[in-house]
Amino acid sequence: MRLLELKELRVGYGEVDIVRGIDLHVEENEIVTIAGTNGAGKSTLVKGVMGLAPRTSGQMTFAGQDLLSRSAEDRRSLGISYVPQVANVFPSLSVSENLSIMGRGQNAKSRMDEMFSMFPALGRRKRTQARALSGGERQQLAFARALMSQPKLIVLDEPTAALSPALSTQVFEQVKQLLSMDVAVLMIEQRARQSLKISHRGYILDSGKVAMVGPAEQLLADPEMEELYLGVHE
Amino acid sequence: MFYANLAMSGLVQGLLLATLALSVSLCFSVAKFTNAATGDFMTVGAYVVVAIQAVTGGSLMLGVLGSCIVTALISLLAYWLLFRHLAHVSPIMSLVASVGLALFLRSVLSLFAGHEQYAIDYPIARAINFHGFLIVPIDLWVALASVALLALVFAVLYLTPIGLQVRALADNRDLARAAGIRSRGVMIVLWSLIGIVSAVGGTIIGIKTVVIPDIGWNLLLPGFAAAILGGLGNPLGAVIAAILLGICQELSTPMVGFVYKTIFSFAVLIAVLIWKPEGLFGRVEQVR
Amino acid sequence: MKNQGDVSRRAVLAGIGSTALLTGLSGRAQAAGNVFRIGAPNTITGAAGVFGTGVQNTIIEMAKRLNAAGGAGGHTFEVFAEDTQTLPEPALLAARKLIEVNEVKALLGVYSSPEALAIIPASNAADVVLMHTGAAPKLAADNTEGLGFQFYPSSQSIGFVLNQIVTKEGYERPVTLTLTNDASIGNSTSFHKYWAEQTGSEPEDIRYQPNQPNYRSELQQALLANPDVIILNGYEPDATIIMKQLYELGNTARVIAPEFAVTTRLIEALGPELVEDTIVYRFVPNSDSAAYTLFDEVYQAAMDAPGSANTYAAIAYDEMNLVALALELDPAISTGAELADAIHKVCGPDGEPCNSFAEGKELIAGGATVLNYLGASGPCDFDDQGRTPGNFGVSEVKSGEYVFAYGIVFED
Repeated sequence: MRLLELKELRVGYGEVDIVRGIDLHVEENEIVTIAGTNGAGKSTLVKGVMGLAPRTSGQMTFAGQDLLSRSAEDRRSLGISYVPQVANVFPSLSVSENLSIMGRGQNAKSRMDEMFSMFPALGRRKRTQARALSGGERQQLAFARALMSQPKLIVLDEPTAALSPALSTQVFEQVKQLLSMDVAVLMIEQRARQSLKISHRGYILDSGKVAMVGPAEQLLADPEMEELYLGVHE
Repeated sequence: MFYANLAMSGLVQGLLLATLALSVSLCFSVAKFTNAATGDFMTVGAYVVVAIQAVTGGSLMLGVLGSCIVTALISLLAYWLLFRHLAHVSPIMSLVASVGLALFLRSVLSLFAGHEQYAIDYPIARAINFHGFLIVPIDLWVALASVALLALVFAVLYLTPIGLQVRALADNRDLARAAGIRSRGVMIVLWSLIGIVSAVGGTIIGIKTVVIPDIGWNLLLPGFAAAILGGLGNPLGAVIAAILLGICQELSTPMVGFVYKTIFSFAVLIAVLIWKPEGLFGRVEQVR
Repeated sequence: MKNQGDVSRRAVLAGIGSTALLTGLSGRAQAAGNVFRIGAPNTITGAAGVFGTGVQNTIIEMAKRLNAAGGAGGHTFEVFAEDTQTLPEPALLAARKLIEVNEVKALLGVYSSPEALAIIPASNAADVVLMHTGAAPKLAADNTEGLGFQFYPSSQSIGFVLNQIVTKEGYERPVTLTLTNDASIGNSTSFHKYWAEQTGSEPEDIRYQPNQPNYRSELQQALLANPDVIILNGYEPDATIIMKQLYELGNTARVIAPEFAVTTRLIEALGPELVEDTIVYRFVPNSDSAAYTLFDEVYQAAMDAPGSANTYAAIAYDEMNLVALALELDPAISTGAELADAIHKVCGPDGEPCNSFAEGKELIAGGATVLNYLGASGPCDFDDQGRTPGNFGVSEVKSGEYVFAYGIVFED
């Protein structure tokens, strides 16, 4: 079943459209990578999906429901979690607070315990302010926070930005594990090759439009793709 | 004992500024702009106490409680009619609007109450003398009220779910929205708190001085100084900085004299900002 | 609520932007060229709000009466009234408006030193006569064009009076608490001079800033000198805070302060116990004079209260008489400088004595070219710098009331 579906989506700031008509979808239990050069409109697209952009038009649905008319604040309860680039935790809140702010209702407590067993490092630092965590721990907290609300889709904006290559590899491992939790992932990534390797499908953006689309292996194997967007082997 | 008394004087001065600095800092941390009407909210708070005392025949307790409600409502009204509409444009617009609001509030007070001074009624009593260390009874109450106020604000911020949302919104607006936190509810809490802080702060200032339309405005600059010194947007830092500033200012008087004591506090501010631009208790966000 | 203001006054105020008061139909009927415009930027509100309305109404009442009697030197008076809020900036704004928009030739009833200091550069530049009750030494220095007339005794004479009080009461360890403005510093400095001449010792002087929420450190310093009397040179708002905090800090020394600092409002706000025995000095009018009797009648008509309620209104009464006499003496007056010259000719101390405009008018008709107006507020003998001597009354506050004790006459 299709979770997220965008048709002719345009997103812009002020007078200018950065995203200029994009068709995109994410299936249940699917990892989708969005790659592309700097300034291709990747982050703007995510802002549009999350309802955080000033101007969004076209069609956008989530599990069959219209998303365009819903506010950013509605997305959590619809089942969409967001892990923004870099500023992905509340720095002055403690680890527990970062989680409890996402989990509402009766099972919040048990859900938090699940998160702590999934990320033991966080369980040991429940009362620590998020700003005091290491880069890796903070990334774990960002994932745990996103998972707290038991989402159907997690939107990741460059989860490996500003991380060391070793940590990045860890992050990609974690993303892969999300599948086992019944969560779909829409991920923007600069490290397109690594990202595509764990993805089902990929979209390559260029100047606010989709330049290439297809299954991840196909894109990875495409010589044109190789030349234009992936660059030399890492 | 001479210096102990000076420090006591500074502590009272500091607590007085602390309420103002706290209000500035709260607003900056969540609503992300410098509220130049902070002092005038306090003035409004003081006038409401005077008015309630006039109607009820002098109950200070009733005056303060009533002022908390009325000032919170005025504060909310300011948010609803003014700042709510400026939330999505540059914070400079909110700052400019707050300057306008400050002038407006003062004009309204002048129009209805005139420029004559009023007094908040309280039992004036001689200081208690502990071997030369003087404690003025009303100062004890002022200190108690300040501590109670700070306790209330920090209890709301740190012990309630809505307080958690306030802090989350202060930290990261987009992430908070994506977490389903509606800024409207948070803003209502914030502006109510600002109103209550202003009411209590205004009462304290009114008790220590006289109630005239300028009392709050006159204290705005030192209040800003404390808020900046404490690390803008750090309410606890602002309170500590205000108290430190008050004590330092009064302790400096044997050296710099009384005429230059306020200048001294600004000199401290400049020095600290050169040495530690983020303020004494500020943090440069190291998320990146 | 203490210190509730006078409701009727406030109601009047609410309507004030600026109020041009055409005083009397006869004035209107006369040729427009002979209208003499007077500005009244007075303290309707603010720290000296208790005095301003009486001052303004006296000026208006005088204009009405002079107009009804046929004017002065062929001129009728038109008064433009403003509120200065007892603050320098609004005072200057009001004065500018009166000068530029209403084209007044004289500003009357200007109250405090800060207000007068703010206005005097503008009135000098516009060739407008300024009559005020400031006391700051700088007001004499700023009176560069000779257009300023200072009806309140100078700081020098206040220092003299303070020294007289302290000596008379037998105090030995005076301390001065001085607001950092020119008039207050002038008063304290003058007192120190007299005191030093007499005793050879220099009293402690503590300067304080306005608008401070807390004067405890300043007062602690003052009390450290173990004074038997504290001389407070400031205004109502700071005096209220200081009197309160002095009491809280256990002060038992007596306080000497001017009436515009320890006001009835201050006494009301703090309660009689805190203010008991405070010595209050004030500029007092020449209440035995013939002019004072006439003033009292005018004030009764204007305010429905005895003239003794408002010394500054007696001054305003004299101001109007001097302007009128000057116009009567020299009907051709068209500039501020000419008006100031003519005022010097009618004010004395030389010339034929007169107690009222009517008397002066007769003397002028009889050929007099120099008069000595003897005013309700005092002799009104202005020197080259625009200063006049005056009398002081000393009262003690007893159970919240001023009780007159004795008078002091300034002798240099």
